[in-house]
Amino acid sequence: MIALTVRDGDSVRNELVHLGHASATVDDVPMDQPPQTELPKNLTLHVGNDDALLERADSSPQLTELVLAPVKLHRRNIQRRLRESQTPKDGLQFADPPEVGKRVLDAADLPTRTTDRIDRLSMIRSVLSDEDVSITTSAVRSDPQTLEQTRTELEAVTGFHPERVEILEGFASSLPAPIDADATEILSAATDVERALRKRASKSISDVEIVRRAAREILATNGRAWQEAFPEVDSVSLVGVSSIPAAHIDLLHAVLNSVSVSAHIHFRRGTGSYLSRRVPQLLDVAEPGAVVFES
Amino acid sequence: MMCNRLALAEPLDDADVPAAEIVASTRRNEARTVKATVSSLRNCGIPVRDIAVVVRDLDTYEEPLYRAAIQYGVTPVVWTQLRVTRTRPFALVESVCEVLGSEELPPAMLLRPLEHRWSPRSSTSSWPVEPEAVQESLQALPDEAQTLSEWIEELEANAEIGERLVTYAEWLGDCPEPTPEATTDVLTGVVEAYEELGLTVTKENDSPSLVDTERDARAVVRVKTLIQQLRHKYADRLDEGTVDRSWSSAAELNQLIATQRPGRREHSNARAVDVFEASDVWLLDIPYVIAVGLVDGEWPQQTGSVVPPELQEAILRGDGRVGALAPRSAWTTGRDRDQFDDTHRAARDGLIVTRHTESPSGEERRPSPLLEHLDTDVVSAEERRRLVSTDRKLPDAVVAMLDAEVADGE
Repeated sequence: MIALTVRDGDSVRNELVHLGHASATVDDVPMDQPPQTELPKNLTLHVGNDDALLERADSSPQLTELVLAPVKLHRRNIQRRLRESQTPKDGLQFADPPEVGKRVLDAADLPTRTTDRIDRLSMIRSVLSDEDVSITTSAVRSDPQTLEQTRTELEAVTGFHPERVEILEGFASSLPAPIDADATEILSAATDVERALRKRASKSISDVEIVRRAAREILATNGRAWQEAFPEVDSVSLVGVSSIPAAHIDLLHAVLNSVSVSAHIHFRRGTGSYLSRRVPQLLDVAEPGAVVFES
Repeated sequence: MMCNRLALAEPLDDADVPAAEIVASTRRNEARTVKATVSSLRNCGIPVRDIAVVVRDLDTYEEPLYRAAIQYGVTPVVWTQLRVTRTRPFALVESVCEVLGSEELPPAMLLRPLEHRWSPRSSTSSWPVEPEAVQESLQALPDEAQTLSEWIEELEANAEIGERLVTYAEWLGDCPEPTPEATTDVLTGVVEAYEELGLTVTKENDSPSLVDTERDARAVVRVKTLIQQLRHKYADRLDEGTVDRSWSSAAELNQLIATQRPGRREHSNARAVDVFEASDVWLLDIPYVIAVGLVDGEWPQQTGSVVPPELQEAILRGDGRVGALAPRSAWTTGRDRDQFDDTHRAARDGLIVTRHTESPSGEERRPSPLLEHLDTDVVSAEERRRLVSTDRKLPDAVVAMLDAEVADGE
């Protein structure tokens, strides 16, 4: 049995969730749920215990931690706190997941150029006027902005990962009418848009695709791609998050599966206890970073 | 069915920090309260760096806070993206493209760059043309739309219309074909001349807080960056054959980049009070935090989604294999609650929350449910009145925070 430490902001409320007995410990998990996958032992989840991040920088300045802060200003906040407490910050490197993806792909000599939202919107516009492709749905409006929102929202949920897409398809069709049709339609609209964009663009469709490609590359090279991009990194943390898109969890998953670094996720206090209970399920997919599209 | 939505709404533990609540009638009065509080804290010797103002959404509070700031002499610095399309340097660049790109122009369109303070580069103090002089020229010009070359001919042939208009016409006539390089050069020149001469006018007309000057200067920097981005995007699009080579295409792309690509978040000024959006506050540690806009429907707020609510619910619950799907906390109030908690925890010595009770049309605005679990000392109407009056007297609940700090230090 592997112990998953969930550290809470107040030491008195520290809780230790033993995953082998997950359904007994976590009270709102339905009994019919299949046993959860055990978490990798080098992953620690923190809930609201943000000082732990600063303490790590303070207690092991010789170790290098790569801090993934999706909100850019959060890096400045961390640096300000370190400065105020006169903690050396040499041990911390900052990036967001797409930057990590770019460095991994760069180190492997793979292309890293992406189309941006402006390009995507204009490509979707031209896809819509193309008679060979049909992206029509009554569930959402067929204008470029709404279709792009549909694509990004479903991308955050599924990462276009084959298992997740299948799960969502299966679940959508089990919903009562007429929601089943709506749910099915928005999922296929999202994948159709992504597929059409991939056909048209010579570059990666988005930063998110860069993150997924990096995850695949790390796995395919058994961690070498990561080692080459971040030879000096001892641990990696994802900080300041209120939710985790599929692509980010898949990147972390790929790293944990193939590299011997320790990893930390720092959740916020409000959503943290919920999200930390969800992590084992989010990690329970094969081939993180894989997509339903060919090539 | 609602279990996980409820799990995302569990009450948060109180941070161990005293909290005061100030209630104002309107949003505008609330902003005045905020600025009066900052001003009074400053008068008590609190350094401006020890105070932060936090809002969920700057769109609704930026203007009222700026206006109140002028009244109370406390300059706010907003950690946010500049809405560049609403600035004069952007309007100037846009109007130049419009003049160069239109087949026929009415006189008002022709002179619009002058209204936005177009000046030739390395020119003298006679530039930019004063607004009154632009209006006079407009009266003197024929009403009909003409092509640009017809206009240039007309201006150059009528020296009595003024030397400066002739200079402008000559410059227009000399503008090259809009290749990506030429576009960048022309527009950069326009912005640099503005930086040299137009910005000075803003400064002369500005209030002592120099709020407009600061914004104008930021806009100059941002517009220069946009023009560089335009060069690449325009070259790409020309290669792909998706746009034609014209000033109008350049203008359209420029508008697109400005609205789609957020600029850098700005910026620190030692003498001004930081105004943050709540999403950026995580991990900050500041003695006094003023959380603004704790109004039901504003904070927390859920983001619009294309996913049907029933499906959201199921993904949030994550039963069985559905648990492998990544839930989005923006479907619930979870994300906003996190950010309010960040705000609360950022406050080291005291949290001051403010809200307003009526909309501009007089409808009732209820307190935010986020306040239900927060133990606050509500400031009386009389105390609020004295705070915003020339007395600037801090409410007792806030004074107690200062005393606590002094006691701690001893």
